[in-house]
Amino acid sequence: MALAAAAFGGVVIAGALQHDVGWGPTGPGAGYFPLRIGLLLVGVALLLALTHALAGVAGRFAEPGAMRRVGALLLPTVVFGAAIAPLGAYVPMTLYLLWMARVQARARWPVALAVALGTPAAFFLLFETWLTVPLAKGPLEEALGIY
Amino acid sequence: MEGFAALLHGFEVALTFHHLALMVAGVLIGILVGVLPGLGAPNGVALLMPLTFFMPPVSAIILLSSMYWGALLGGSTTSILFNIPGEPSSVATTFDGHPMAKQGKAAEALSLAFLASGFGALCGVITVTVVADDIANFALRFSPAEYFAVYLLAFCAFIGMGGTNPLKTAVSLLVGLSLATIGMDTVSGEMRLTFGQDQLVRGISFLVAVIGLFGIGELLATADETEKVEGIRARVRLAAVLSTLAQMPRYTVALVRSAAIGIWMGLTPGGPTAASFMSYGVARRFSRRRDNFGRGEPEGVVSPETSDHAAGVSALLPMLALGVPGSATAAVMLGGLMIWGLQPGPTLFQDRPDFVWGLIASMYVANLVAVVLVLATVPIFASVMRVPFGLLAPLIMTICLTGAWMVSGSGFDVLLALGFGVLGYLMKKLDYPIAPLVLAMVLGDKAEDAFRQSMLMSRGDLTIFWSNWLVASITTLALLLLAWPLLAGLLRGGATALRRPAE
Amino acid sequence: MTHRTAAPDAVSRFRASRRLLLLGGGAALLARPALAQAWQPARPVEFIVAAGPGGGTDQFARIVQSIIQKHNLMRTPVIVTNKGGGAGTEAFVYGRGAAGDPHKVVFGTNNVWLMPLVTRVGYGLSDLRPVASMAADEFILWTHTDAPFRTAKDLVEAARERQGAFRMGGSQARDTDHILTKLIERATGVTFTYVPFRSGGEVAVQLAGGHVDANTNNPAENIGQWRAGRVRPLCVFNTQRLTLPEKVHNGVGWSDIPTATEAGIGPAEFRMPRTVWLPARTTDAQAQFWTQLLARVRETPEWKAWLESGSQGDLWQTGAELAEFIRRDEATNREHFREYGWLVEQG
Repeated sequence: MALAAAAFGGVVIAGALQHDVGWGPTGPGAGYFPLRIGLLLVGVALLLALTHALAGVAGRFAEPGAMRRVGALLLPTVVFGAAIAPLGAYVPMTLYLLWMARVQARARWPVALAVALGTPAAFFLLFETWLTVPLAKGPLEEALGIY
Repeated sequence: MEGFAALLHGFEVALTFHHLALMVAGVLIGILVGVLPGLGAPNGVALLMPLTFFMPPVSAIILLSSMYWGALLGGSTTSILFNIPGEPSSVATTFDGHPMAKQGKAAEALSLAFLASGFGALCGVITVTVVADDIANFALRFSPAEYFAVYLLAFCAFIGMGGTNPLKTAVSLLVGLSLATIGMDTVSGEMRLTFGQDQLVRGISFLVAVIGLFGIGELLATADETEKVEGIRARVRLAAVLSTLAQMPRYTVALVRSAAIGIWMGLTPGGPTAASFMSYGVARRFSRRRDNFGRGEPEGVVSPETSDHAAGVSALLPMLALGVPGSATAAVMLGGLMIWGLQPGPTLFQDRPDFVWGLIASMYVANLVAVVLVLATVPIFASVMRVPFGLLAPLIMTICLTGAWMVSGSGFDVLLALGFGVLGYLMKKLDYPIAPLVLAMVLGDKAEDAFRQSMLMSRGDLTIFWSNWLVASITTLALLLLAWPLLAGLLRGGATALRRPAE
Repeated sequence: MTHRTAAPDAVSRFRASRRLLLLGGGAALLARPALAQAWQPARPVEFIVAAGPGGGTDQFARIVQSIIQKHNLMRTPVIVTNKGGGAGTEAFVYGRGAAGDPHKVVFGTNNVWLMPLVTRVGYGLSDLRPVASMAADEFILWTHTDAPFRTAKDLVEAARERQGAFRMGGSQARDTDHILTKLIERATGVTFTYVPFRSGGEVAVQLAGGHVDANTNNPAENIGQWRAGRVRPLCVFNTQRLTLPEKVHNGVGWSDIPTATEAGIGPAEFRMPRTVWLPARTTDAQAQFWTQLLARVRETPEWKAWLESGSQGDLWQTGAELAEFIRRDEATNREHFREYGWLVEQG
């Protein structure tokens, strides 16, 4: 984690160097603060990593069961999130909820179906129809001409 | 007592059946948009705006401001129950509100939050009533140097030697500051840290980060902790509300102090989000139960909520008097004013007293309506909490991701929210504090802009931050607050040193 | 843009194929070309505002939306979304991604063609199709009431004496206010310290509080402070005086403000057009529909009232005339920006 933060600090420095990093007559340039922030971040993060290494804090990050549970929630969600832009919000939402309810939560079919179909329908009525906020649309919505 | 007569007239305007109905409608819509992450009060106002084109200006502003109060309260509800701040300004409420809810004290936390909000709003509106005429003159004193000093004050009040590892706090803060610089730089007009990516040009949305860090991160952490999570039983009975009301005097100091911070930050350009963070930080610093903060300390709910609302209410007046919005929501309302044919500015008070005082009177009534209504909605949310985690988690995830999409209609933001979710989970797991990151994202770029504007104006002379009594006192206070742990130590040391010879 | 991600490409490819599909279907249904001319939106339309909520551009889009709704000028509903990131470039990048989609209408100013000159952006002027310019916002040189100078000429002389320490406030860097400040410098040979803020409203307050010495705000941004007697107009950057008869403060009104030429400073004219765009690869018939719709919006009393409330000028340009105007304006500014060292080559 500390090393990742240090790496991020490096990225910040690289970005900052594309700008004026000096303190001109009219105050600091665009890259002045980002450069210092990046340098500080690298420094603090490395220090932190060092103290960890010295203290020998290896320790298990989490017990395997916990990792499995987090993965079971996170992985389908990432797939869902990635699918929103190309496929629209509604189709992935239905499939995601169906998967989570039926396979993960082991809900009975009627409950799973109600959740998976009811939520997108409720979202559609609430956002699109009433609040007129467009959600992501994909080929299915296109074909149905809802969009 | 010219103002008092004007206020009475305002009540005549506000207390018609038509306007009361608008308040109820506005508050309900507000609670809804406040509860949904990503769809905050600014969106709510923007959505209702077309409706208001066909109303008289007073009705329009009553509808919109009522919606705003509802949204502020709705945002607190989800902060406490789900750890998802519906509004940026309710982030600080999650720190203790959600732990309280997890301990089964959801009803108490919610009642505390709402009652504190009500108190804050009341203080705010009373202030507004009293000083309405002088606000414009006061706010004009704020140049970039004063802005910077106010942001610095908010920073210093919040960042201190909290319980956690100071190195980790520093990492969190620095990451937040870095994230805040992404996108277009106001002062130079250059794109920073975008590396040519179009998606990064608009910067990292604060809302997307918050949805990820808090909402998604919390769900992952909960999944980590236990196989089966018991739903939080939040049943607000009238008895619970009343008993909380009876406890309120216990928090008098916190309430008054937070209201003062809120009003100050509302009248100056700090805004509600900075106010709630600052008030939380100050409360923690000066509380006798400091160690309990972050673990479900009631004072940690009362303080940010009071400030948030006091600031939200008092920020509306500078907007009318100056035409400068203190928050994103106010910015949209300001656009509305012009469309309704009103000219915000110092003369609005003379030109349209019916409008200004109608609005002020409506703030008294609408905040009351809002608190009552939001208490009534709690059983609905409480029943949601009884859904098993296996079903609830994907539903909340869906709401979070949809919220992230709605921030600017981009798939990139959805992935970003997920990324922040993982980051939030890891930070929680490895004991990195999240709050400094969030605060840095809120204030970082504003503070940098203000600093560089000041430098442009003073031609690089740092003494501009002590150039008049106003800016000098704020800057000094900020530095004092930052150094407080050290000073307190010195004082204590000094006191013991003095006492010792006497022994 | 060499570093562009694959995503926008994928989107535009997808949109393109969809458009072919739609057009194919349309052609099959409406075989007669005369009917194909009368294109109408088939779906909800999105108005994309190239600015955050609350400012002039936002009002522009929302006024058009409210007029369309009030007068029932269109059958499908209109949604307004704000994409103000990167000084509006976010909206134009979005417009690029929506190539060929006539249901996306982008509302901006001259920033559409000026932004690509000064900063790296993810679109080019060819990614958007100009539909109309509907209004022009005026620029006025203002100072605060306590300032000693009574005329624009005095102000310029005072600035000359202070050798660059004269503070000129404006919104955003390398945007209209900054460009105008540079033009005044060119015309008069003085230098200002330009202090960029986030919005015109902020600049107005900074001037009223005496924290900056002058600004070049639009009328709507400063009128509140003028009415209260805290700021004073010195000249308007237009070849003709403003025509509104209203007296704002102490018997002085819009029509009493001298033009820049009368005041003896330059530039003679500087105005900001408010423009409406469609994504590229939309058809002439589709552009035609929007031009006609906007022409009808222009006729309504609500539109005229809005122009008047911000004392904006009428500037109706469409088609080839507008394209030519943009081409010329872009070329002039490119020259100037090269001189200031602002020009950024799009990689």
